[in-house]
Amino acid sequence: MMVSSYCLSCNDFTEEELSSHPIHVGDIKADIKIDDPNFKPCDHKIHQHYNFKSTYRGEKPAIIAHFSEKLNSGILKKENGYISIRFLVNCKGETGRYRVKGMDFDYKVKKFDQPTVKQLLSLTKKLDGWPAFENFNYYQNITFKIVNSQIEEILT
Amino acid sequence: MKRFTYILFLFFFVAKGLCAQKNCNVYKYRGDDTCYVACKTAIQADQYQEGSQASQILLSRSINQCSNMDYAYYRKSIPYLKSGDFVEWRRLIDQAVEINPAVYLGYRGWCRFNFLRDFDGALSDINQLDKMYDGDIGYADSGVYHLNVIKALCFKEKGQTRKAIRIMEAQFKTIKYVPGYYDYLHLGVMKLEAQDFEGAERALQKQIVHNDYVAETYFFLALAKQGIGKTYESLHLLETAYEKYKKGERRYSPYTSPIDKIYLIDIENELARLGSLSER
Repeated sequence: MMVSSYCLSCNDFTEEELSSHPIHVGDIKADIKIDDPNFKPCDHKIHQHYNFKSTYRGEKPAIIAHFSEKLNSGILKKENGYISIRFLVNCKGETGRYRVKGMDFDYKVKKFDQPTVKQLLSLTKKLDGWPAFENFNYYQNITFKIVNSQIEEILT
Repeated sequence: MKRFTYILFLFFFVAKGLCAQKNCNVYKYRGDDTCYVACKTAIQADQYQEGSQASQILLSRSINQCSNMDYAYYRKSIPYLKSGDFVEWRRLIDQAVEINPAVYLGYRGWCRFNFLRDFDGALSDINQLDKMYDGDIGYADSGVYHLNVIKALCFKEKGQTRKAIRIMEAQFKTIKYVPGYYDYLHLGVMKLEAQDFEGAERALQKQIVHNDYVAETYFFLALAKQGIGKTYESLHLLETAYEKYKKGERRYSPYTSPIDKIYLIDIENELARLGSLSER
C-alpha cells in the first residue's frame, strides 16, 4: 500500500475541508506574539518524535533530575491533572514554539494556575539535551501528571 | 524458533480484530449502502500518512456520511493521542467505544494505562469489557500484552502488588495462554517488590528462557540474586545487563517509557554500589 504524507488529490477536497484540518494533527503555527523570535526551524521537513528513534541526553532520569532539582513544588499547591507541553526541535537541537495544554482527570480542558504553567514551561525550555538531526526538525511532547500537588509522572 | 512462534501467535490472536482493517462488506450485507460508502472512505484514509490533512479529511467525511462509523473515529483519534492532545483523543475514542464497546473498550483502557498512567481509568475500561464477555477479553498493544496482564500492571503501579501477582498467576494458568513477550519480567519485578526474591528469580529465569532479549531481565535478576545473598552472580548479571543496554537490547517505546524499563544510570549505580560493597 502506498502511504503518502502529502495530499495527492487535494483537488478532491473542498476549501472548507482544507481550512478545517491542519496539514498534520499537532502542527504548531508560528506566533510572533508568544514565540522566541530567535528560534528558527531549519529548512527541512518536520517529523513527529515517535516516527524515529531518539533519546534525550542522559535519558529520562536526566529529565526527572532536572525537574526534581529545579522545581519549586510549593507552587503546585492544590493542583491536579495533566499538563502537556508540545514544542519543536530544529536540526541544531534548538527548541521553540512551545504550546501548553491542561487537562483534568476527566479528560476535559483545564486551566491551571499561571504560576504552575509558567514554572513548568520555563523548566521545560531549559531542557537542552534533545537530539539534533541534520536533515529534519521534529515535534516533541512532554506531559506532567500532577496528583495532589506533586508531579507523579513525567511522560515523554 | 520460539520468537518465530511468538510472532505467528501475535499475527493470529491480536485483540478482537482491532489491528485489522475494517471489513466494509458487513455494511453491504446489511443493505446499508451509505455506511458501506463511508467505510470505504475511511479505508481510503489509510493510504495517507496517519494524522495528515488528507487522512483526517477522509475520516471526517466518513463520519459525516455515517455517524456510526466506529473505525473512522478510532483512526481519527490516534494522531491526537500520539501528539499529546488527550482531550481531543478522548472525545473521538469515546465515540468509537460508544458505538462498538466490544472492540474499543480494551484499546482505550490500554491507552489510558500506557500514555497517561491513568490506572483507575484503565481498570475501569478493562473491567467493563470483562463484564461483557464470558470468555477471553483479548489483547492490547498489538498483541504484546493480554488485557489481564495490563490489569495486573495497573494494580502493581497502584501499590497493590499481591493482587497484581494473583492476577498474573491466574493468567498463566489460563488454558491455552501463551505468555506475552514481557509477562515473566513483570511477574519477576512484582515478586521483587513483594520481597519474594526466590519467586522473582524463578520468574526472571523463565523470562530468559522465553525471551532473553532485554537488559531489564538481567538487571532485575541481579537484584533478586542480591536478595538471596548471591552477590557475585548479581555482579555478573549486572555486567550482562550493561552490555545488553549498550547494544540497544532494552525496552523501548517511541511514545512513553514502558513499565519496568530501566536506564543506563540504574545499572551504573547498581554496579557502583556492588563495587563499593565488595571493597569493604
